[in-house]
Amino acid sequence: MIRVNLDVMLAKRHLSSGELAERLGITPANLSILKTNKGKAIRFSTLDALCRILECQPADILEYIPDAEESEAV
Amino acid sequence: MKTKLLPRITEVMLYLLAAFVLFCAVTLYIPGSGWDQIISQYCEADANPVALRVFLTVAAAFALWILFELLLVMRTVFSDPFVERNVRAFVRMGIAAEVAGAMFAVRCIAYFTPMTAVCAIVMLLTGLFALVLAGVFRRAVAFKRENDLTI
Repeated sequence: MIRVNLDVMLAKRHLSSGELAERLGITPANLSILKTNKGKAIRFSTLDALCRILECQPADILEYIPDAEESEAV
Repeated sequence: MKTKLLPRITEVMLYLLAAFVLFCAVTLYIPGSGWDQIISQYCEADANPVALRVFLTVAAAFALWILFELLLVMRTVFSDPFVERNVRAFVRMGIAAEVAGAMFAVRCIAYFTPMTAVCAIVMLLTGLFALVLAGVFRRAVAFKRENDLTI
């Protein structure tokens, strides 16, 4: 699965969720979906804006975690 | 304006149709409403006019059920029609139409008239149409949910 580590980056940049949502141009509810890993997909435009605002790389925000079944199979 | 006009007209037509079906169903049991003459003419070879009256009442109930479900679907057109409730509504409409169609088909076997056969075919086709539409709506709901969760 892909985990979104937005909380970590927000803490590093001393930004609140509300402020980030406003600067991204999305609703706090949608940002919450993203933060809680409930989102199905993320648009490149959103990722681009996130990286620009948080001054980071996509890898700083997104993390791949192998599923338990997959890692057992390997 | 134009996008809202058509659903509004459809809604009004559905209300009028429901009122007409309800009127027919109620007057079916009012003596001297004219139905006695129609049934006696229609049933000259039919053994049981009471059975026809019951049959018409049940058919009217199914028609009202379908119209009621359609009205509920129409009300969501302005807000968000792609919801699970509408999928279930189309499934219910499909089942109701198929059952009504089957009733007409059985009646065709018992007492054939061309109009009964036409009604049976129309109802069966309507049922299939509603069931196909339910499938399409189910996919649309899934797509919408995925789109809603794309940030």
